[in-house]
Amino acid sequence: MSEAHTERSDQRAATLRDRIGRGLDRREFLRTVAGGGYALGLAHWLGVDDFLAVDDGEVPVVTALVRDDPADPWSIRERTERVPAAWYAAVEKAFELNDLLARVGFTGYLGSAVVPGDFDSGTATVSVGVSSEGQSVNELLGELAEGVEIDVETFIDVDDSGADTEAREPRLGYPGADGRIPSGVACETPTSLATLGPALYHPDGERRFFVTADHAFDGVAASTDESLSLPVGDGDAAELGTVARHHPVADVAAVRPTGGIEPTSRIDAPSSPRVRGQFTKFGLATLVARDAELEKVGAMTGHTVGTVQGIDAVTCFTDDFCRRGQLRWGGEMDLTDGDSGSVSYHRDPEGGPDDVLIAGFNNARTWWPGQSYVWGVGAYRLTETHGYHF
Amino acid sequence: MSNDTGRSENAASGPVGTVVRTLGRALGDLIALSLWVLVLTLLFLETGWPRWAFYALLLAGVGVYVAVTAAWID
Repeated sequence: MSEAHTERSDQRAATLRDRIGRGLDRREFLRTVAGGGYALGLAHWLGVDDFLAVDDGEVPVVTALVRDDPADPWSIRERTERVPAAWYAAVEKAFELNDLLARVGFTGYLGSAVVPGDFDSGTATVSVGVSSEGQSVNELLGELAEGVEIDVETFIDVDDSGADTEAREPRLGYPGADGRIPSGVACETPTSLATLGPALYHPDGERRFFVTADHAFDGVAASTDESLSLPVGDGDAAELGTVARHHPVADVAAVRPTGGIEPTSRIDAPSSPRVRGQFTKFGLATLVARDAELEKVGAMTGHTVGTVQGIDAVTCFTDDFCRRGQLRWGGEMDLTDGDSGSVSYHRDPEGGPDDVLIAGFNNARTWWPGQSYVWGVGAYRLTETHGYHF
Repeated sequence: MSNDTGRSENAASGPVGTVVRTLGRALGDLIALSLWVLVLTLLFLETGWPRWAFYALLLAGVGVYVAVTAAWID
């Protein structure tokens, strides 16, 4: 029928018909209907209405795990906070999409992170790192490694600590009268120097651990005793313990105390903060929404402060696997060789003036044009995957 | 083509080729439209634009995609 119409109409329509070809109108129509149906179906499956059609109001979310009794690490309980429903829906959807991207892991995917907007905006951004099309990730990394420094070198390797480390003296810690040692001072593995984290607790058997970056044990022969010690100056060192568990993906090593020194939930900063608990994934999101800053104390760079750049991040550019649940904050200057194993923290908004909540570990830094940040596994991720808490 | 055993296969490759091409196009459509939905979703997540605009852009994009790619086919 349409052909009869076209043949009777003017020459322009005839040319158009020639160009498009016979029977294409119907095919186009079918493709549009099928494509539109598919797009609507996919949008529905992704759950876009979850955040596009949100009522006003507030919803409760768990933002932190906090101790009831500051001195009792086994008294942790969830703290909830009310946040705008639209903001919650956007951030939750961003987490889901970020997870979907990581699972699909299309060619060229280097990683992604969620950056929540402020509470009023009700928005969230998923920042995706991609290599240019048509290249394998390995090729791209090889190229970039020559120009910009994105490769295993950006992942802080305490083995080849260069001039940077020699120029600074590590912060040494001394056990207090109670035989405890705070976080933020140097610790030594058989092969390298790192920063001691605050005490890590595991509810299974109520164990407490010293903790530092797992990569600080790289190069240690499996047969040898993997001990962690505390340098106290003049080449002397006090024994802290031996490794109980390696967690290479989280890049955390849990060390069982064997000497007279006990891990403690203090941080060696001017105000001597006391660790009261940790932020959850949504707790970190509220920090971003409030534009809050994180602090850290490293054995080399000491106390520094910076803003959160992304949460629940996935990083695939350092090893042959992807690291999930990462926290990105600050800049490259906030971390150097020997700072790995330190933690980032923020003041407990509802606690005492010295109480802080842990955000995550600082184990690596990355910088290339437009991006510069410190990253490491979020405390919530460590709790989800391995059960530890601060 | 020479008169060998491959001939009957070659003769059959006509309709098979059409099916393969059609499937390839359908797959291309799926990938392109999936990316479009994903990009729109991330954009609206970031901007907080209204719901009607999302669906309007979603369908308009499909229409434009089909109109543009139709000229490439055949």
